[in-house]
Amino acid sequence: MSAATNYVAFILTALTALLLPPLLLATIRKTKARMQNRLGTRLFQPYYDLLKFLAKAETVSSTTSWVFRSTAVANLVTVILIAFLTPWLSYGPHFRDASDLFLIVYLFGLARFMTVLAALDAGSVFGGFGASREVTLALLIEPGVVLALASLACVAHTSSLGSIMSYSLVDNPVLYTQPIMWLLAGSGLFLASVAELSRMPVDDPTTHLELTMVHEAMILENSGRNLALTEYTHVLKMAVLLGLSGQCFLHSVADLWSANDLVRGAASIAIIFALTLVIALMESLIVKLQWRKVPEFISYAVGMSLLCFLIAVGVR
Amino acid sequence: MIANLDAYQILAISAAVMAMLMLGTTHLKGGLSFYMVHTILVAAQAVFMGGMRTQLHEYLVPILYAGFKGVGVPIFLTYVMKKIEVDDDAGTYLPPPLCLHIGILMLGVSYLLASHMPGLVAASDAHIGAMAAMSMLFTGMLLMLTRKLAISQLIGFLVMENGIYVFACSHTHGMPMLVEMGILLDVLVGVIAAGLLSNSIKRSFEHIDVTKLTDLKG
Amino acid sequence: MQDPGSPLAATLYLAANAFWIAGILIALPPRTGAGHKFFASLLATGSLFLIASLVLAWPTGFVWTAPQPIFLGMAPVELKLDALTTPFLLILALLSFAVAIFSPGYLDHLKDRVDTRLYWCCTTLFVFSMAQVITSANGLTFLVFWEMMSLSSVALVMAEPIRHRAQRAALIYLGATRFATALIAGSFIWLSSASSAAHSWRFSDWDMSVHSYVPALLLFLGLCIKAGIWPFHIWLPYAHPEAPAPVSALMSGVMVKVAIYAMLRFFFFLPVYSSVIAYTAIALGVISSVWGILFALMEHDLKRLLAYSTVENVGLIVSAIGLAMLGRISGQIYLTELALAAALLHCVNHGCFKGLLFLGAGSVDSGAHTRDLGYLGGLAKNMPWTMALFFIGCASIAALPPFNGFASKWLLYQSYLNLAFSSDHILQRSLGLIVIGIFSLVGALSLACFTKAFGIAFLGRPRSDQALKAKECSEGMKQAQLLLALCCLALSFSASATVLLFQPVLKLLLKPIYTAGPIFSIPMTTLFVIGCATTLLIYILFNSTRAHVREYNTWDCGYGPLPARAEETGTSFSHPIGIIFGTLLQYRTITQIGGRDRRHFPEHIAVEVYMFPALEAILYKPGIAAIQSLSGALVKMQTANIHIHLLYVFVAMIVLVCVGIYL
Repeated sequence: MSAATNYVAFILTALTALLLPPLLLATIRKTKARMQNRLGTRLFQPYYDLLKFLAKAETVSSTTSWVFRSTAVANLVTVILIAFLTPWLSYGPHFRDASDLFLIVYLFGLARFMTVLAALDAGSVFGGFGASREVTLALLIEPGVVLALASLACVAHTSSLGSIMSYSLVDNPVLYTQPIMWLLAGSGLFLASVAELSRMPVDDPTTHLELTMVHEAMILENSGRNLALTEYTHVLKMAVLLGLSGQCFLHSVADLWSANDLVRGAASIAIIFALTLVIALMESLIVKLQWRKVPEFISYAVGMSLLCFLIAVGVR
Repeated sequence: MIANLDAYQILAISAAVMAMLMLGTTHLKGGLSFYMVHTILVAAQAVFMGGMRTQLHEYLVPILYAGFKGVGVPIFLTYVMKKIEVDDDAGTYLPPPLCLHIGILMLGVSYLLASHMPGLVAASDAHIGAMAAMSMLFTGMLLMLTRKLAISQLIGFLVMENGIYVFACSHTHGMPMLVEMGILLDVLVGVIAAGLLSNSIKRSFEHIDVTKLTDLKG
Repeated sequence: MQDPGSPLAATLYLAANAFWIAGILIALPPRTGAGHKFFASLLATGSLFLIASLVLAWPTGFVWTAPQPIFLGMAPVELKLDALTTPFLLILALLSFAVAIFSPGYLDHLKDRVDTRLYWCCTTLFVFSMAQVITSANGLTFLVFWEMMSLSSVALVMAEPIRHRAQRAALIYLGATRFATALIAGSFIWLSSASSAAHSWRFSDWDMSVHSYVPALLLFLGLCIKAGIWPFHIWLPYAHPEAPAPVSALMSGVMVKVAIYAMLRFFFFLPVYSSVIAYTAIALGVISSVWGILFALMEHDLKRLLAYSTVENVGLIVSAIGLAMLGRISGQIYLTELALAAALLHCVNHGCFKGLLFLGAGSVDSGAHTRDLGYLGGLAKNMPWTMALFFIGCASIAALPPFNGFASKWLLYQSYLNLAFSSDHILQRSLGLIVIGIFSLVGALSLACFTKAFGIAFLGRPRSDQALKAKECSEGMKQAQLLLALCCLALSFSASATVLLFQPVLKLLLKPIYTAGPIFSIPMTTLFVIGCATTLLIYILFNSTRAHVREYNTWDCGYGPLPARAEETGTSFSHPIGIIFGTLLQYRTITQIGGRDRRHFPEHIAVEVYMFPALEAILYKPGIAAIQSLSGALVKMQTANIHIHLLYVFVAMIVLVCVGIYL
């Protein structure tokens, strides 16, 4: 890609990353509200919420140290880096080496490391068990995500996500012929994202009962500016993860490989909204699982990745 | 490899995958829905076998198969479950996630086995059907070995029957109607007997946990 | 191999050895007046001379044979420094320098519990013998200094002889090292007697493929015991925690790497093309990595946690070595180079961050007087330096970008990915992808383990009086940890340069078939700079509009500050994972609820979590019991009756005469 197109791609991605994620949150809330026969909030309410948090005063626990105070900003920077490196939109900037799939997975791990330490920092009970549950979930999710992406990497002969997710037949001659592999990888990533983002049926994001929290328990201590940054980080992460699974689904449609950039870009955004709708429907129709049963749900995500792996070793 | 498969081979593999997904849950209603889709897919692959079918009776048996085994058995088993008041499997010897992963890896193993098996028909496309069939056999075996509830073991047995059916279909491109009817009758009697027996076992022994059958020893 | 740099390099190396020998000898007499600073400076100067000699000798090295009076019976003392020895000697020099700076402060904390003469004598002997093992060029030199290394470290494990746990640990460690030395010595004797040049002990004269690789397999088993690979890793979690913290750093950081160095020397330099050993190495390495980190997660003793984590990391390195052997057998040279680069980089990285972590644990021990996570907590207020440096160590070992652990983990993943897409055999391809999945599980487990170690020990509120009154460590200890942390950071940002520096090592190991080397292609420095710039931007953007920040006792719900007992403990942190992996860990919970009405009004609740040591019970205890019963049977033969013993002598004589006549 020439330098000019790269700059345009960069600016477009920045705009999307800034504007799209709160809209996803609004979509989920609106859909759940309509399914419960309520009107729901305004469509731009999450933006107003973020601005409100920024204006509020902050209360910081006196037990905390520099770990807690720097986590919100560190996480935001990490997820911004991920948003620019990962090809979650078809019109994003393409990097060969910096979009390595292991780098992306471990950058997510860095964000998780900081969050867990911030949760333990306040010395409160909620943070403690939230942190414990978060690392248990990460343990179950990570092999699924890595196996799905590594199977794609194995067929594409490279571990760079930029090359794997490119739509050119020159880069990926073999992957073009494997729609089922893309579908399996996409569904595995989607199920793993549902668990990673603490959505139903793994965790209820709107719960007020601390004993049922996983993700909320870890960010309880944040307020004011830190809360705004944390909330925005969470929705940006949601956009990136749903975008990544959406790209896998889009790659299974052969026509999109030869379509022009505008169609592909529109399809990228559309699939993110579609997946958000699926999450909203799941939250309205399915009950939260017992904590003991959560590994069974996540095993389906790993199962999809294993099927993807079977195809990858069969294909040469 | 995947792109140039016939419709019936895709249906056979989807049926095998559906059966495997049953391994990952102990919730009986979910397991029964997976089983229903699985059996309907097995019946569908028998329809698509060998291209267009012109005679009516070649459609009759798969439809009866789907009807009795695919829809009838789950309805009957749901009725039995309501009578004996169980909702979830009593327990498993292997955690369901591990079962699911082993089942999927068995698909790979059955691919290796099937590609080395001397085919009855010289055509090379019988390998895919044999792979799906063997994976269904392994899945059924895993279900029967690891579940404690008699109903789950029955479902495992039925999955194995489906596997044998798929194996026979893929190698002979259709069986004489008499043999197929024989299988259906056999299955029907087995299911009714097991269902009725579950009810009477429960009434006399207060549970249908098969591990407690060892109380009968000596 | 004599180039202008070599004589000077050889002289510097011998000077380093002279400093260490001086340190050992001066520590021996009972009334030596020298203090900690004297011995520390001897050790440190030796390390500096070693580094100088390494820099000068790179990349060709030198050869040195001891002059005539020093002779080991069948072979002289021969030392050879080449490209392969350099990374390992570098880790040794670095860690011994850090240990030298750390020890005076740490020994002041230990005061009368440790015999300081013994400590300095044995530590210097330990460092000296490890350097000679790495540079030895023949089997006898290797064995003599290997024994010195093992025995000096056993003495150091027993440095606090009054503690029963230390005695038991030293005994277990001694037993393991006897087995390892026996296997290695047996294999060396076999190889030297079968060597082409008439019983030569020189490594370069040996042919490893003799007798279809059986001596190579024995050697591999002996080195696995010393490196701490499952199922021979039992001694590691006993021995490493009981030694004083600087010695644990040396043992975990360098001694296991000496075993790895020996594997590289014997299986690559003298090539071994056995696929049995390759697959065994991969299997044992992968199992060790999962086993080690799982048990590390369940530990509540900080140093035992770090010891189990060493088992995990050595498992990663050995699986990389196995993969490299596999690649060499099937002719995939790029795969071999990738795997070797991964193994070497992980050796160097692990030496740095494990050394840092152990020194940090020693600092915590000296400040809070306890290593148990159940009594620590809230050290952030009193020990800020230790906390910051321990944070760097934890982030590095969890392989988080941009720290150095990520680079070696990335190379490991790349090598298995290469196996997955370039191999012809379907089973090897499956192996590659499955191992990638298992290693990502190991990565997630190590994240959990080190968030637990750092979070429970340093963050939150103090769980005991000792933690409340903890004091920051002394200047020397701080400087040692700072040095290692700076090395970790330097390695993080120069990962691509380091991998390029490994090329002479790879050239040496793969002499005839070396092609272009692997590269670490992720622009870590660029990403870090961009990250810092973004952080600055966000601070500037949001700080100017930031409203008032107040500190408060949050979430007390009106009851006042919660007691420290309400906090999360290490055991409860790892409890869900223990339940999931319960069968592997043999995780058991005992709950005792007591009171007048247990169900409705419990008065006291006790919960204990323990893990039944299945490996010891199934594998080791029956073996030890068998040996003991055999010994008991033999004792019956040993009577004090002189006539019986004369009978034994005469019977043996007659049997030997018959054997001599008829055979």
